[in-house]
Amino acid sequence: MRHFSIIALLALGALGASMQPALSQEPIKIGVMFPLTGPLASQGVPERDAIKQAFDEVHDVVAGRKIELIYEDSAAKPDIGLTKTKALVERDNVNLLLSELVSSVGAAMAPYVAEHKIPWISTVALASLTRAQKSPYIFRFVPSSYQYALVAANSGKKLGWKKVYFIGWNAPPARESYQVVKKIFGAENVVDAMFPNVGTTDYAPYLTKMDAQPADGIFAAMWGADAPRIVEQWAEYGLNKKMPIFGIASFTSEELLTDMPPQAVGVRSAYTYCGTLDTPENKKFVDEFKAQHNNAMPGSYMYMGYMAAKMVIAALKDINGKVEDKDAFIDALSKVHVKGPMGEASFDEHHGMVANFYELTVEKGADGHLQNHCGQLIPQVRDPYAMFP
Amino acid sequence: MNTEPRQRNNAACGLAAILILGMLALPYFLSSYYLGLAIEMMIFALFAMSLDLLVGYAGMASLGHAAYFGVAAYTTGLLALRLGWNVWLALPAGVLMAALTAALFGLLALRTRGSYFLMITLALSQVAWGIAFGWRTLTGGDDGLPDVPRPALNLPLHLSWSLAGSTAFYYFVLVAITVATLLLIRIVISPFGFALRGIRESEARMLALGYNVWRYKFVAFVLAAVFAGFAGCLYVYYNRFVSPDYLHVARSAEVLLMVILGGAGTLIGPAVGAAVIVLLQNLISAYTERWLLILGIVYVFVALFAPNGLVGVFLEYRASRIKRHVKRLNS
Repeated sequence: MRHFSIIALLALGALGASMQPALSQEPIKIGVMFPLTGPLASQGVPERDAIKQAFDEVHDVVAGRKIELIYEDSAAKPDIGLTKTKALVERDNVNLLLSELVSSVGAAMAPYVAEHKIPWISTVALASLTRAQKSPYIFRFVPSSYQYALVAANSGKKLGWKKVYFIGWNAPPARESYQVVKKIFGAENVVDAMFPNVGTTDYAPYLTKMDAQPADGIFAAMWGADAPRIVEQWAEYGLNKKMPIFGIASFTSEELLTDMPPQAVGVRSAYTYCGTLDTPENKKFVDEFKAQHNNAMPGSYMYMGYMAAKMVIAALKDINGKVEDKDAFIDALSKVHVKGPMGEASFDEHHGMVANFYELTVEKGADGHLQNHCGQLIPQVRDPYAMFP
Repeated sequence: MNTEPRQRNNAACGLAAILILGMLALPYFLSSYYLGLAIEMMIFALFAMSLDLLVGYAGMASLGHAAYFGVAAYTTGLLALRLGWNVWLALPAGVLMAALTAALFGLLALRTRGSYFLMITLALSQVAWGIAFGWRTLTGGDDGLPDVPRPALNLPLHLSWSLAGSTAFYYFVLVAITVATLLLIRIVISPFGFALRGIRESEARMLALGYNVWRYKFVAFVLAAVFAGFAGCLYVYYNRFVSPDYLHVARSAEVLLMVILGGAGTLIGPAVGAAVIVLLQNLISAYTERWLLILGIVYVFVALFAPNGLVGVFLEYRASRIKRHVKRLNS
């Protein structure tokens, strides 16, 4: 059955190709660099795969031109990432970049990309890409730290929280998130702000401190393996009965839920992706991803990689594949509106992401696994430039 | 009898001349990407040669050499970025800072030998890494310092030569590395260099001969840091940013592997090692994600079959040929 449909698609593709003589043109080369080795490979590899999935849907052909994805590994190190970016641009002559998730690599790439005038659709959540390091060639399809923290802080406020704790990585995204929480709740209402290092294994000192002086809730800004770890210890210390956690950004992202303890049920967050949302676009995305990844759910990173690729495809269609005209491509990309798994998305005037957010609560799914319950939709969230310049 | 070394010297000079001419012509053959790789190879060659002064000549294996590379890079980067210092001021300031750091670390590290020396240099470099990582307001933490400007060479008489283009920067690095290499050669063949080799072979004998061994080791330690720092300054101008990875222990280990892979105790060996590793890193990774595996296999093979490094293999081959030649003459 599956084979037949593939053959049918191939036949259709061949038919389409025969009608479009433009296919004889040179392929559009897209540089796709992510951390494919090292501790962040667990996010980098599936995000790269999600980008590939978006191009597979159009059979690697846009406006009659073949798409060629060229992969590189940044190893999550800025100097390696920069060297690899140079390789993609100067050796492989890519037309555009669709790359990266590590903020230090992104910060190192930005000046180079701007200088060489290579359109870069960044999946790095670096606020500076649409602020201090802004360039007409840089687009950011992932919310900035101010953008996602503002949504989280407002949602926490709506829950009736007055006094809060903030705990987050000793790194820029968490520090910036803290600025937002401080602004929304007032500095006097943040009982304490704590910044453990990335990869901290023991949160006991922080959790006992919170236990001693209770507040309405905890804002947590840490990701990767650290999010499940702090939830586990928070439950171990019995804090789950005293103070709820509101996770900032991808704290309860689907790929992290598999490592969370059962007590994680009820942990909240508010972010760009909700795996259980019932739309045909999301069903298509999830089913295809699961089929290729051993039944694993896609998370927010994969969603944003997939959507960033869809934005590129839409813009390429608008300019009829003439990617060599960079100004036209940039213009098309900044105007493009794409309906994806979570609804419509676009870029703002500074090339930051505009997309729907959902309030999420961890719940137990029918199959016993943890999943996100899609709560209130927060439509078309924009980067708050005026509030956080 | 006397003419033979001179002949060999002439041959070496001829080879060097061909090499330099080839390097001068390189921008006419290579695309900007490969030119960038050539720049990186030269910078890491100098970095590896500076470590070889310690490892190969003085017999002190350091696992913290990236500290000086990184300290110099941060100093130059910060001065160029924040204060807008030009290359004539920012670069020497970086090198000076590396020397001062080495003088401080040397006072502590040189009390030890062998594996203890290895461990204390490792620990000290981790201190420097910790400062770069933690002192967010100054160093930008793990995001590093992006946007360091490429320098312009402001010469007297209002001449200014921008190094923003890759060809101009390539020649700038070529000149800088050539001068540094000549200085290193001069150091190695000086009485000081021979004293270091003596210390490597037997510290006790050198002490008995009346050498102040500690002072020799200290000067070697600082000199190695000066050249490493110079490489670091060039690297920050090349990459246009600095991050704590510059002084991470992984980088120290990498440069030590360059020295061992190429062959410690010769200057050309580490340069070859650096070139091989930079090439492998950049060319293989374009084809496979598992490039670290291939690099690992290369290390294992060199450790098993060429314990004296790639250049060591060549030298042994030549030595065995001479030996055979002598034997034939005798019979």
